[in-house]
Amino acid sequence: MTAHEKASIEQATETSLALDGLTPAQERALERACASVAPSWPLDRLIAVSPFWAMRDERFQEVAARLSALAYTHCLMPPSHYLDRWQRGLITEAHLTLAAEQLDYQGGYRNLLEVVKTLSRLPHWHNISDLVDARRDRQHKMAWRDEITHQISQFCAAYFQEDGPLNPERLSIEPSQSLYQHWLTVTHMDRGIAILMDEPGLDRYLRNLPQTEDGLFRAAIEELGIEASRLGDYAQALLLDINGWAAWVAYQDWQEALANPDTATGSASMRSLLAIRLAWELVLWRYTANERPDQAERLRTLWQRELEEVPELLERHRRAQQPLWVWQTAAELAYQQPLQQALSDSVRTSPPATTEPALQAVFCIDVRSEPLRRALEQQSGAIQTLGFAGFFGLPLSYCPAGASLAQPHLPGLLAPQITLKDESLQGARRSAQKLNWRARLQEWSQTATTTFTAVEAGGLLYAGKLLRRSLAPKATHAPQTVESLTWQWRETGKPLSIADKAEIAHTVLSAMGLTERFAPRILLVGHGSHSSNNPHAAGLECGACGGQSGEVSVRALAQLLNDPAIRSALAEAGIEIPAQSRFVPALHHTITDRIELLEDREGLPQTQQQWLEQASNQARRARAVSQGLAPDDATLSDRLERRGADWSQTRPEWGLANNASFIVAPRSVTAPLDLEGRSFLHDYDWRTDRDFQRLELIMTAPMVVTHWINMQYNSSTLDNRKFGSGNKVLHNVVGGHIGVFEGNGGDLRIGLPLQSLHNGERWMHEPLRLSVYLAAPQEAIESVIQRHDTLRSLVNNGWLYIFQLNDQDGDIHRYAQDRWTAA
Amino acid sequence: MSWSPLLPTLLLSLVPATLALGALIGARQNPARAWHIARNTTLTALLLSAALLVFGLLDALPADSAWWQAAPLNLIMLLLANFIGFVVVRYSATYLQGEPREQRFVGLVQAVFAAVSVTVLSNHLLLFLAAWLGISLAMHQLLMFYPDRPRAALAAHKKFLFARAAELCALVAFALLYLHHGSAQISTIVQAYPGPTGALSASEQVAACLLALAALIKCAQLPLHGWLIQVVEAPTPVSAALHGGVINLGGYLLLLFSPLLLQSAPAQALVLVVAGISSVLAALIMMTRVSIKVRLAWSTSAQMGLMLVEIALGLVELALLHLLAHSCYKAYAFLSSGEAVQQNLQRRQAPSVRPSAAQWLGAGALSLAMVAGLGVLVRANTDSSAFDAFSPWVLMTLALTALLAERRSRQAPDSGVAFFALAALIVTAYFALKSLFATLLPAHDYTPSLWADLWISTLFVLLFVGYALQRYGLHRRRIQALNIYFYAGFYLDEWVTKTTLRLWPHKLPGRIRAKQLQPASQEVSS
Repeated sequence: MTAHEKASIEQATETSLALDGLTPAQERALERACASVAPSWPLDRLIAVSPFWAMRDERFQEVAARLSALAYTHCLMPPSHYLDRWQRGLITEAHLTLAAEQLDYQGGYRNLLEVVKTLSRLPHWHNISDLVDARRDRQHKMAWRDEITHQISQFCAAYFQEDGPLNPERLSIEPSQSLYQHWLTVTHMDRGIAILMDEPGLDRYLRNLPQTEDGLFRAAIEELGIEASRLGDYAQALLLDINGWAAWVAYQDWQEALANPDTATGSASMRSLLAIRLAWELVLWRYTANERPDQAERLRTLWQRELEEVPELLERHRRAQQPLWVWQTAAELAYQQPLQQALSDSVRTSPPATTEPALQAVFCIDVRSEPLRRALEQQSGAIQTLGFAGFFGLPLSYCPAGASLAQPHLPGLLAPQITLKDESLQGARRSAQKLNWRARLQEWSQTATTTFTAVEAGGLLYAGKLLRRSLAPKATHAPQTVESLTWQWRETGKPLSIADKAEIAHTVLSAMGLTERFAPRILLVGHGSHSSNNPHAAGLECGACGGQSGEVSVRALAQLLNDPAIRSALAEAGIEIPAQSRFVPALHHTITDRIELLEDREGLPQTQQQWLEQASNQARRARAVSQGLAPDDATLSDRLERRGADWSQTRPEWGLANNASFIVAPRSVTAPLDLEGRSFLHDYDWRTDRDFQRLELIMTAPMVVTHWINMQYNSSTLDNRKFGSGNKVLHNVVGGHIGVFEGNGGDLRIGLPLQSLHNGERWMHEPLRLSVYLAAPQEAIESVIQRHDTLRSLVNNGWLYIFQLNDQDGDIHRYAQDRWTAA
Repeated sequence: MSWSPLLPTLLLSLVPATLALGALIGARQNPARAWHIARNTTLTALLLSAALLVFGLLDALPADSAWWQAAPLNLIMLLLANFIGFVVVRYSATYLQGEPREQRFVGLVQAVFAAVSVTVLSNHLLLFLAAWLGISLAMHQLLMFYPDRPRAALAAHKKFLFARAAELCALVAFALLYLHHGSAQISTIVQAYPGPTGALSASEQVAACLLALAALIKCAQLPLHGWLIQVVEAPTPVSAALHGGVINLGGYLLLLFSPLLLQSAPAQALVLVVAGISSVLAALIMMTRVSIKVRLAWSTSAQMGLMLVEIALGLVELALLHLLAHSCYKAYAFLSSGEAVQQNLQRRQAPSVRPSAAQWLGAGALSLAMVAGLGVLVRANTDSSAFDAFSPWVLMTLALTALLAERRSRQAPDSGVAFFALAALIVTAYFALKSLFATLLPAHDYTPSLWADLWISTLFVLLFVGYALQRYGLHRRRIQALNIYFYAGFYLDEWVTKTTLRLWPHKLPGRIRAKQLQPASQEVSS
């Protein structure tokens, strides 16, 4: 570097430092960008999240246009998809006309070829790294954009992994040092990228970066000439470039906010992450200006044009997408109309259920429960099924015997309050020894000095393992041993008293609406999925149980409700459970549709066990085709069992694919309908809900969860590159449980894998926004929505549909833009 | 038993022929049918190789003919390759269902294992080389299974160039050997080095060094290891086939020519230095890696290093054991890499407790006693040469020390007996396996030089120290600074990549779905 250049860098640094702090407008812009990222849960607690959750305050259309303009991200299907549905007669003229009317759109939308043409001509936003890459000699050198993502991604993984080489706790770094500062230290020491990119002077520019985030923001804003009105979009574009790690940081913040709801502040780490990405932009800018004078002028011109044209760019994308919104809405109407017709008919014709049930079965609201419930009800008129969130309202975290770690078993929206420990003293000791043995052997076979010996002495054993898993895969799932559970308050560690437990039981039963007419046997059916060798296995488990099997929750609840002491306390509080009524915990295996009784099989009479078996058979047969199996195959059950145990199976089951609606009504309304496993079903009778507190609970918790699931499946289908985790055959688990890379590196990948949504020929999920049907009075629904900003945003900004189902006359009304219209 | 002279040749040819036929026929079928064929061909090839090995061990096969060689070493390698092929094909048939280029995969994977079978059986230098080239070219296509992934393309490009370099080395070495011995038969050439003879001629020395170099390159030793790490951009079964099968061929080459290698001090020194250092560095770098497959890839590089070191020390039986055991282990580790989440959970459920100094010493003393005890016992009662080289036992002692010292978790602070029993079992199993494999290979009386043994022992001790510092000393600033170098892989691959691209440019595919610039400036669109 010449003396002149050095001086100019130093000067630039000084001027930026000499400036005052950021202006309020700049602060707001940065804050908005940092707050636009939705969290993503780690793989061992994988639950569905809407990646748009943090942007719900804006209309979906606006968000879609911005994401498209800034990051070339799709929030709509390609025109070919809609065309295909048109050709198959699924979307009709009437749907389109109605959709255009609802959207108040007068432009043309019929000519999809025209839409394709417009979309393909749209320009996109470019970061400085993109612009520099465009001029780069790609024959001899690597691209910046990929290398920057790679560098940040590797750093983040090494930082956030518990035993990572850059983990701040392992390095005992002062807590005051931010993520950005730590990155600076590491980057200063690491010469790798300068060598790789063949840009020898680069190190100096990295060393000259400001020492604090604020310093960096000031310098970048000043030197890159970014007005406050452009800053927000630019910052968001940068975060979208490292979308996966941004989501991981958002998850850390989310957990922090759950743990300390009062003290939670804005996200410092997200700001740091943004600063890291922006630092690269600044380095490239300065580097080009000083080391590549021939390109500097051109870069300056292009960059200025990028900045100038942001508003126009957004507007162009918005306009180009409008026709597709008509088609999308038409597709949703095509789903809603027949469903609504059927619901209305059902209300108008269905006789009220009167028979006293011999068996009640409570299932999770999960869409996979619906076909099985239908099949079970068809076995006998004496069966009543109910739908409720699979954690049954127990705010648990569960610590297996002898383990050091408790996993939460409840929706991601909530913080666990109770720790359930499994500890009979003898069992816990034995279990701890076993866990220790497994963990130590694993470490021993994988660490630097020992791995050689492990391979030479024990490697040949793997020949046997290879053979066994190739020829005769066996399910490894062992039922959890829940012998003697202790219930502790999570915060204080104190055990729960009988009164505490009775209170919890009371809350749970009231929320379920199960306070009278108890059948002699009440089956509590959780669900679990046992797939092998699947990093995303938790995504197939019960989402309401935090990505765990529902087993623990149903067992705990059954123990609670069968306890005579608790029953008598409950009776005092007004819920009388007849002495002969027994709660029986069971598990619905979602790969095989088998219902397993978790405790003694004698808990259920023989005939009732037969009902369960026949229902499973029926549900299995109905689903076989979608799994590429023959429904009349006598070995269907075994085949499915093997499918779960097969270590090479990338599509163990279709999970919640094709979900589209959430119906909150008494089962009598939905019972006659074949909902094709597309509906979440929550039992609710408004007549028993004084003050509509249960309605409020349903709309603020399960409804949000179902929206998250719906948007997770939608977004992963719409843009698997940005919101999905890509191809399973390339997945590479990062940081033990943080997430996956697709292949060698790149950004952390969030969302669902391609194989969870696509069967190799076609999508198994049709992206439709969730249609929620609530059988409750309009005033009650409206008042809940008006009381919760979140709900208002979801409804008014087009993230989901809310319908009221009148359970007397069968009329259906839609609530949108703060008013009701006939649907 | 009397054989028609043609029958053994025919039987041996049947293995690669079956696979090749499967590849050819499958190419014209739909994927389901092609997989069906491939499952049958790999099963046939596996059963055939198993039968051949049994015949071979019963001395029912003539050891060599004009084209094929059927010594136990060849037949063991044949069985291993076809076992991995069988597992990989069965796995992929489900795993890759619905991939757009599925059919191409079926053909290529059979082609790879057909070529491997030819390589490990061939007794002719040219056939060996041709098959070796064939493996590499077919493997290249598999590594480029997703041709639009820039990193896959870069890694494959590097691998392509290095592989050609290795083949060039082998070609020159083979030419020299052919000129020297006047024969292209591998068995004839190797039999010319039955034991310590006189000094080698210059051309033999050069040939030995070139063979060593070829093996080092093929086994992804530092600094030419980068491609191996980056090819996890290909589907999991490709990695399994590569790490569990193909990568071993460098080791096989050295094993085959070990009689020559063991007489060439410069070639041995080359391997001991490069593979020795590589092995230690790669193992320590592995510990800084954040993703499961990349860790596994670094581990392969380290393991290959150890295998080559063992050959250069004359411990060929140990090297063969290592080759087999590692193949099975690594194929399994890759194919089951989706279980990383579950394994991580197991570790977090029982976090280990840092051992005290006394615990370290106790564990060290106990391990030393076990190993030394076995040594004394063996020396006193047998004439086994298992303890002639001491460096393997240094490694064993260190590994057992770690096992015993780091055996406690917070919830299980008193576990002991089981771990002692395990340690004893490991030592015994290791000794037994080593002795068993010694009986499978032709006897040789080679004792490694003290210096070589000392050098490798020192490296092992350094490895142990490095591991302990990485695990327990990371709060110290100096260790942190050192660890950054491990984290950065000593910039070796960065430097190699840059140089490669400079010397041999390669247009990498652009980003999938690149953003568009304004139409007016579309000439620069990225």
